[in-house]
Amino acid sequence: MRTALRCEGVTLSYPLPKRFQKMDATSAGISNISFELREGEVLGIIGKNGSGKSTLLKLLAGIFPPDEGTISLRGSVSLLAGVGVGFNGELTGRENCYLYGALMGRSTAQIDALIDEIWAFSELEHFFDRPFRMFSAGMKSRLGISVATAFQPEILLIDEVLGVGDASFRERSKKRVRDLIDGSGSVVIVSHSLSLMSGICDRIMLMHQGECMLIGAPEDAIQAYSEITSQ
Amino acid sequence: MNEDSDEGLTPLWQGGGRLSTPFRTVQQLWQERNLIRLLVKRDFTSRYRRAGLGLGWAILEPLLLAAVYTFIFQILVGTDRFAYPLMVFIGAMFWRLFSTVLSASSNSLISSRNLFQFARVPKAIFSASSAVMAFQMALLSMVSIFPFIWWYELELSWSYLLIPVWLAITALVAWATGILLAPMATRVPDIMHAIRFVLRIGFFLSPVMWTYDMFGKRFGDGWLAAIVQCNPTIVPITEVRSILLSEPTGIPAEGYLIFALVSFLSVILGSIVFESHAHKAVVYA
Repeated sequence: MRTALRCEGVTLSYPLPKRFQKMDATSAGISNISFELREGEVLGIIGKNGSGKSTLLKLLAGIFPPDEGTISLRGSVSLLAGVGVGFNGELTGRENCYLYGALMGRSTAQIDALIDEIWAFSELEHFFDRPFRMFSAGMKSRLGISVATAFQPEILLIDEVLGVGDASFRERSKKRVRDLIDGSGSVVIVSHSLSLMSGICDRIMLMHQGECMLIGAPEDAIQAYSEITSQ
Repeated sequence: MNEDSDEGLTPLWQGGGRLSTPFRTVQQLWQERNLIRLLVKRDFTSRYRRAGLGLGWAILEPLLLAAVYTFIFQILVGTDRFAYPLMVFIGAMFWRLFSTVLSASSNSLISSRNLFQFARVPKAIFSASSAVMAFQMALLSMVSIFPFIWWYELELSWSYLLIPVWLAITALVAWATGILLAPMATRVPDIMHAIRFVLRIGFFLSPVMWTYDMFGKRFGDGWLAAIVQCNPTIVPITEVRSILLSEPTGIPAEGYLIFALVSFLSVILGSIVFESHAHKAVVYA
C-alpha cells in the first residue's frame, strides 16, 4: 500500500483574545498531529465540538499553511466542507457545478463530460436548473456530495455531510464513497454520527483539545470517545 | 513502511523567492483565467439576473451620478468650463472604478471566505475577478460618452482607443493597493473602516467634480501639487478628459513621474505582501 497523505507534527494555533491570554488558556487549533493515510483507506475523525477536526481537514486541503509541521500528499484533494459551502445562491445547480469544478481545478470540458452524471446522481430533476437558494437543505447537500465525488479526487475530505438526505440517498452516497476507494482513492471523514463512522471507516482518529488522542480500530476509538464524553 | 512508498508525495507548501513574486502572481492569475472568468460571470449573474433593467444599471448609474454631481457643483461654485457635465461623468466613472476595485480587493479575503474555505486556489483570483468585473462595467458605461460627443461636437480620434488603457491602469493600481491591505484587513477590522473613510474623502480630493486646471490655477505646481499628485486617479482622469477634448493635460512631467512611481510601487509591494501573507491571513478570515 502506498502512502496517499502524510502529516508530520502539524500545529496551528488560532489567535486568542487578549483577555484570555493571561489565563494560560489552551489556544484553539491543533497541535502536533502526525499520521499517514494509505491509498484506499477511509480514516474517520471524531471528537467533541472545537476539538480541531475541521481545522485539520482545512490544513489537509491546503487552504492555509500550518504554523509548524509538514503535509505531503499525492494527487488532488477535494474538500466537502458543510452544506452549501462554495455554492452561490443566485446561480443554478448546473452553474454552481461548473464553478465548483473550476475551483477544484477542472476544465470546462472535463465538467461537460460529467455534468449529466452529476445531475442523475443528485436526483434533483428540474431543480438542477433553478437557483441554488431555492433548494431545501437536503437538496443542497445532495448537490454538494454529487459534485465533490464526481470529480474522483485521489483524496476526498468530507466534513459532516455524509449523513444527509433521505435513507436511499445516504445508502447511495456511502456506496459512492466505497467506489471512490476502490478506484484507489482515500477518504478522510469527520462526523458525529458514530454508527455511520463505524460502518464505513477502516481506522478512526480521536481528537481532543486539538491533539490526537488515539488512532486505531473504530471500536477502540469510539470506546475512548464515549469515555471522554461521559466525564 | 518501505521507502519507495514515498514516491510522488509532494509537500503542500513550498517556499519561493520573494523577488519573483510579482511574476508568480501574474503567472498564477493567467493559469486560473478560466476560473476568473467564471467568477466574473457569477458576479454578473448574481447581481443582474433578477433586475428588470439588467445591465442597464451599469450604464444608468454613472450617468445619473454625473447629473447630480454637475447640479451640485453648479450650485456651489458655478463654472463655465466647456463640456463640464462630460468632465464630471469621466471623473465619476473613473472614481467609481477606483473605489469599487480598491474596496472589493481589500475586502476580498473576507468576502470570499466561503469559497476558499474548501478549495485550494490562488487567493489573488477573488480580488482579480472583482477588478475584472468592475473594469468591464466601466468599459460598458463608456458607451454613454457618445451622446456627449455628439452634443459637444467633439472630434473622434484614434487616441480615444487609449481610454480603455487608462481604465485598465486605474483598475490595476486600485487592485494592487487593495491586495496590499487585504491580508491585514482580516486581522484588523479597522482597516476596512479606514478604507471606507479614505474613499469618502478621496472623492473630494480626486478630480471628480473639479478638473486639474482648476486646481492648477489656485495652487500652482508647488509642494502641495506634489502631494496631490500622489493620488493615482489624477493622471488617468485628466488624461482621458484631455483626450476627449483634444487639449493638453497641463500636468507637469514630475506629475507623470510621481504617478508612474506610485503605480509601480503599489503593484510590486501589493503582490509581494499579498503572496507572503494571504495564506496565513485566511486563518483569521
